[in-house]
Amino acid sequence: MPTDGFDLEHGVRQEALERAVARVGHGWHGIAALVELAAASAWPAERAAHEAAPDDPGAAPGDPALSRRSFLQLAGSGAAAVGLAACSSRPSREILPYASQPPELTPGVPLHYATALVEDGFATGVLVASHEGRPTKVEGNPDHPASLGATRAIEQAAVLQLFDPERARLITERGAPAPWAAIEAVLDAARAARGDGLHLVLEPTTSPIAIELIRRVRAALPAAGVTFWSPFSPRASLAGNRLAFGRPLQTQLELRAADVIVALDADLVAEHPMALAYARQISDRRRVVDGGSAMSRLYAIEAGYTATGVIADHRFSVRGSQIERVAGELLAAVLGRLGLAGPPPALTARLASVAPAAERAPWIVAIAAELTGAPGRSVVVAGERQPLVVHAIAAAINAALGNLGRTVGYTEPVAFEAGQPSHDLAGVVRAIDRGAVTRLLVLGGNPVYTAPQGVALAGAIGRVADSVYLGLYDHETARACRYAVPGLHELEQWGAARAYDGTLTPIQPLIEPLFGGRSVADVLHRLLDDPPADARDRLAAAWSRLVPDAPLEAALGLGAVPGTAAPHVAVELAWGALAPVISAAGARSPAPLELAIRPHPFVHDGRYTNNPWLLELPEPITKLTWDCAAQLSPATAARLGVADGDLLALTVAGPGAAGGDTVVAAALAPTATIELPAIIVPGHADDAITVHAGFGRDGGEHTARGIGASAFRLWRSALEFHPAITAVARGDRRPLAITQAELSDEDRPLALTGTLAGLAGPAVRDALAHHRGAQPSLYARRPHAPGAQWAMSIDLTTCTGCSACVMACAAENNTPVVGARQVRNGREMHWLRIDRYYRGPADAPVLAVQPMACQHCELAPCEYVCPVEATTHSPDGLNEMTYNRCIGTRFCSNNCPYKVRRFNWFDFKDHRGLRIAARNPDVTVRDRGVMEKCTYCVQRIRRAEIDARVADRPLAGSDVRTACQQVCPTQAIAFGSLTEVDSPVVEHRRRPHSYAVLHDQGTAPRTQYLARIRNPNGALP
Amino acid sequence: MPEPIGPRDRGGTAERTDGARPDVLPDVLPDVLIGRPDDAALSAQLLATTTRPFTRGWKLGFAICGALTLLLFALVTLTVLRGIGVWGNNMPVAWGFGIINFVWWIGIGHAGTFISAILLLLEQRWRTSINRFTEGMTLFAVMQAGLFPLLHLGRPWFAYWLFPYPSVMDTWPQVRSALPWDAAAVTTYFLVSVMFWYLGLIPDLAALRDHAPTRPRRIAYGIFALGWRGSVEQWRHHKVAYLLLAGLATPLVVSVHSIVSFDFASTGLPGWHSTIFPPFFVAGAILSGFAMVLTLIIPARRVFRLDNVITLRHFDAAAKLLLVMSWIATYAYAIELFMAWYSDDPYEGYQQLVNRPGGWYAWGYWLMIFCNCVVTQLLWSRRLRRNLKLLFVIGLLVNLGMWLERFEIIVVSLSRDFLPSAWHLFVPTWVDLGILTGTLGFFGLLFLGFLRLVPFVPVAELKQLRAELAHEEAA
Repeated sequence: MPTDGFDLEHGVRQEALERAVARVGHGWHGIAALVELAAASAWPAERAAHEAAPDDPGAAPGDPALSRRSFLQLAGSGAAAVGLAACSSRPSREILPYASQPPELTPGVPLHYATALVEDGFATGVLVASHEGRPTKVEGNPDHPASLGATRAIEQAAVLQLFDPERARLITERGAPAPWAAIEAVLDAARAARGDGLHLVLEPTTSPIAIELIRRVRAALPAAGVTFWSPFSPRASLAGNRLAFGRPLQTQLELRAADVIVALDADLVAEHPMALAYARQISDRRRVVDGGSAMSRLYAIEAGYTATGVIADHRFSVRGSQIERVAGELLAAVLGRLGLAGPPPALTARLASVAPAAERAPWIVAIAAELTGAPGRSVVVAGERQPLVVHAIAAAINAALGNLGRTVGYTEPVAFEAGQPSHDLAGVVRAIDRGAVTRLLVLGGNPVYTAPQGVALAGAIGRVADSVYLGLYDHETARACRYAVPGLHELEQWGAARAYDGTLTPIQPLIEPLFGGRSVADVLHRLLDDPPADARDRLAAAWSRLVPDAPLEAALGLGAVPGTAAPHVAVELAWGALAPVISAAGARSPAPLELAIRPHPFVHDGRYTNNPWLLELPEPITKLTWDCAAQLSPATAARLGVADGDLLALTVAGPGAAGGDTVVAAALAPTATIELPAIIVPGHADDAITVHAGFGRDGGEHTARGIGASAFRLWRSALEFHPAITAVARGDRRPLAITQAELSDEDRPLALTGTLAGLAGPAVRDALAHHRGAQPSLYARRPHAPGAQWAMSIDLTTCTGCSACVMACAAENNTPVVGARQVRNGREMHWLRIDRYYRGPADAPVLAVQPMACQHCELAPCEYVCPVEATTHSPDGLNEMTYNRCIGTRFCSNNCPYKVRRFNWFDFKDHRGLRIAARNPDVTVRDRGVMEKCTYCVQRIRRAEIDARVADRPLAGSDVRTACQQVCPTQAIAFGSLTEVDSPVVEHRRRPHSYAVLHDQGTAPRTQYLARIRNPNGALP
Repeated sequence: MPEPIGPRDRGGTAERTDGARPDVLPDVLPDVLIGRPDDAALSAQLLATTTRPFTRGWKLGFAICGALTLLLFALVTLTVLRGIGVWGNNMPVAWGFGIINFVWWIGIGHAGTFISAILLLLEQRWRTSINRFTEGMTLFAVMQAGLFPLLHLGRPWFAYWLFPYPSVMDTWPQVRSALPWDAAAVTTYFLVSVMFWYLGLIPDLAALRDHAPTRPRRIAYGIFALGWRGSVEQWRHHKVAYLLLAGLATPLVVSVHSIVSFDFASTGLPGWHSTIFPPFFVAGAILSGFAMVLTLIIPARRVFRLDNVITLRHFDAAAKLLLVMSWIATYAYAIELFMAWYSDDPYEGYQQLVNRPGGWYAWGYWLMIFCNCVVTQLLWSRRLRRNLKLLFVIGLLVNLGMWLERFEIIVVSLSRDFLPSAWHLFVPTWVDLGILTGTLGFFGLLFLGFLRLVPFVPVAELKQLRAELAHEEAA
């Protein structure tokens, strides 16, 4: 059976144990130590048993065998010895064997707990696997509307952040340890002053419990100011809807009802707070069974490539600042076709004069025709990084098409006071500058780092007498404040949050706080001088008060409270208010070069940058790891004279043209410059550079520190994500840690593509048929063994390249992190990678993504070249690796046509430190010098077999879900047994576009693909 | 100290000892033994190589080679301690300098056995003067080669799993893989080469014992001479054993590099998957082996003034073989290109017709063609075949070219195979370069020791040759 890999590391483990014991003994906030102790706990007993055996008076002399009784005695004494050692400076406390287990717990079998991970206030429901109290793996919660059983890569990596040894551990005052009493003194003084001089900066919150608490603070301390800040939380959509409907409303989509989707710079399937649900909704309308399948049509209009652009049927590259012009043209074209009476005559006249720019007239007209041909079954969506006018225009088009209430709905904002002045970070600085703030509480987030250039928060905090930061890391904001208090990870605390659609979600901890941190609620309760209470009791009390209809226990069991989604509100489009704004849209002339600031798909706004898993996960489009780059089109790169890796100095132009907050613009520093390496992205809009935020960190997070540069330094104001910039080649370069340098597929039949119309005809079907089926052979094929025959099928039509599967695979299978230098040398260890290829012209390419892992070939080339039978075939069709037998010739990798094998060039695994607690104990940790690769999650297969045997029922293919399959937001991966004729994987193989990669090599892979089918508009080239 | 007897003249005067200018008398081959020295003279001249004083040049040579050997051992230690990540290998180029060096050194080892065994069976007289020299080269080259299959393993301490031994785990090597055969072939080749070399050495060790100037030397050589008395009975047994071993070694010349080529040919990788590999590899090996012979023997002949026993006849023959093997290699290169085009296989076609001649490593391909195919064409000229300076340079270039050939096959093929997504360059690290240099030094150290410890021209066999020649001339 697989082990945790500790067997070979007795010495290391001994050391870890001693360290852990010492820490517990010193009476620190020692849960971390206890975790390490727990991780090591099986071993000392065993070792004590073995070593003590010869001296054991109970054992008969000369009796070589250790009797069961003496073994148990020794094991018990070993465990007791650990307990005694741990209590050296405390009263001795009895330590008990695990004799009376909790009824739900079987050692070795993980339990799953429903909870939620929160980002920008919005909850994603997850199920967390806990091995004997140690959370190891996050899965999506199928019962949660924002998860539907899937997660993003970020949630997969949450356990590593929980066990991040670089998290803040001590309360500090200017870096020196400080007592909690010092913080209490600040809080008490603030309360005594009834909030005078107090200002709170929080992350946006959706939790009814937190909202109640904030309202109590406001009531008890009426003079206190409260600001909510998160750089990428929705603002423009709320403001746009306020323009369109008279009040800030949150847009909710029902994309299953949409035949035509137009995404205006909107990454619906990866970046949106509801991305997992929207990805599912879109892909449910795009599952191709054959040429006759109904399929929605997706248009993406965007600057840089996004996951939505990847799966789109048509993608048009338009600079971010020009989207509003495109939106205006689209509105004009739509209204022109519909001839509506709604808009005021002035606007109608204005729109009548709008003609699309010549180069995009064909597609604007074609899209408008499509939209007007599907009234009530179409939707136009604007991205959060677009100015409010684009959101207003999208609302106007949707209203004109009758989509409201069908594909688009509106709710009151789910986040507390969203769209209101309290969400303006500049307000904090203004208050400080007025001298109105003497006590600043920054509870969560990292506003000093994420603040726009115009908001000089760091300097302002320095002018506040008592500033307190509460959060996970000793980062920029923590260092700017006087006091820093360790916060709690979401997997350590009780609470609640709402999903983007408003569904109430309880949050429960998986583990005691590792570093004795405090939650935001703890601080607010203390501010209110509430009597101390257990966090769970507090939650239960508040819950029963606020949600009397849904008992907390039931909600925790499900991970969500069904039926609590925010109700849709009736809206009336305010054409009158819209008209002048729309008339002015797109009047700005474009700058010669502009920036597009985007959240990084994995580190978001920098809150996850200290997570090595996420840093090493290749960015889906550029395949860049451990770095941040300036993405630009081939033409723009040629204009600037740069190639991949050449450093560019990006400078924001001085204040002036920005459409944002004038107060802020006035405060802008004249220029700000960052340096980043260029990376060329075919299909990127010309004259624009996309930079992901989240890098350029310079706090106390050692992993994150010094990587790349911060896009926030070029961010002018909170509503302007496309500032005009200048870029100058610096003349030197920096090698990039890219996992796939090649852009082209060299016209090889790898990620096959076709159109829906083509699939209906015989030519494409026949061409695809050449890529599957039995190959002629001189040798008789060996029959399959009885029992399951595992196989996988991956639908390239719905794969967005989001890379959640890659992260899930790494989390499930303990694949090591190797660092930028090793990645540059082609030594990344991910068992699953996402290949991406560009096809077609460089300015308007079509991008194909293809998850690629071990194909589990029936005639595996790796197997016959292994000299020691370390890689062999199992009777159920798996290509297996026997790590202990591998001597590391790497011959198997040379002969693998898919190059999916990974080699431990060094001892890559972590030996010590907290991060090893995130390992999956069911999967062997590989040693130096052995080959490894995808196993089809064999540990899950064997677990399912055991469960079936115990339950005395036949094993069904659906009993097994691989980690990649389980996490996939679009359910693109099917897994099961070929022996079950009605299983999804067999059904996939019957489809006309099922094929095997490198079929001509005769490897008979068990993983097959469904070709990527697009549904292009016949009216467009 | 016995004075070496033989022509003292240097350089260009060697031609004159032939009696005529070679381009004037085209059909006459130079003699294989000039001056027909008698037994005593041969003994005196050839055994004296072991007793010459250690001059400054020798000390310098030993010091340099010794230092490089220490570097090799240090880098081997580093590799075993830290893992082969200290090399430049990556995914997809999982084999790099390790296997290149292995194949290169094994190939160099081929000339020895070819000269010793095959030419013996073919009764080629010109082999006699140089066979021991090339056998020594073979042994030391195979020793270098043998390091690499061990070192390149992820877990070298389990290398013995490649051998079929009755394991308690009841596991055996997986014989569909080329690697257990490879291990067996190389081991067999080394053992047979050692035996063959030592068997031929026994009469000369006895002669050294008998001529030893000091008692310790006499004892040392006496132990290794295994009681050789030179009796007729001993000679009869010796002859039979030598011929038998030659018969055993002959198929090994073909089999070792054929099996080494299976490491590549038995896979599906574009650039490896080819039925031409076994003969192509053997020819390439002999090409590189003869190139190394030239590289080594030209300076040795000069230093030890052996112009009378290693004559232009030898160089002429070696150069002709070089030319033949170069043409076989050229043919193989051409066939690879032709098959890539003719098969219409997109992957093979890309590899052979695009990647090698025009890819990242195109410079290596064209340099290889220059060294292995173009430069060797000079050897059509009889005059140039007997120009030792030119032969020395050609030998070096062919050595380089053959190393590049293995680089092309291994690194270039692996760096771009089926899925462009997995393509990646290989760049050697300083450890890679250090280990290659270190093996050159270790090889040199062993070779210098060989030159100074045993007679590297077989004295007994040469005397026999002289007798045969005298007999023929008398007839």
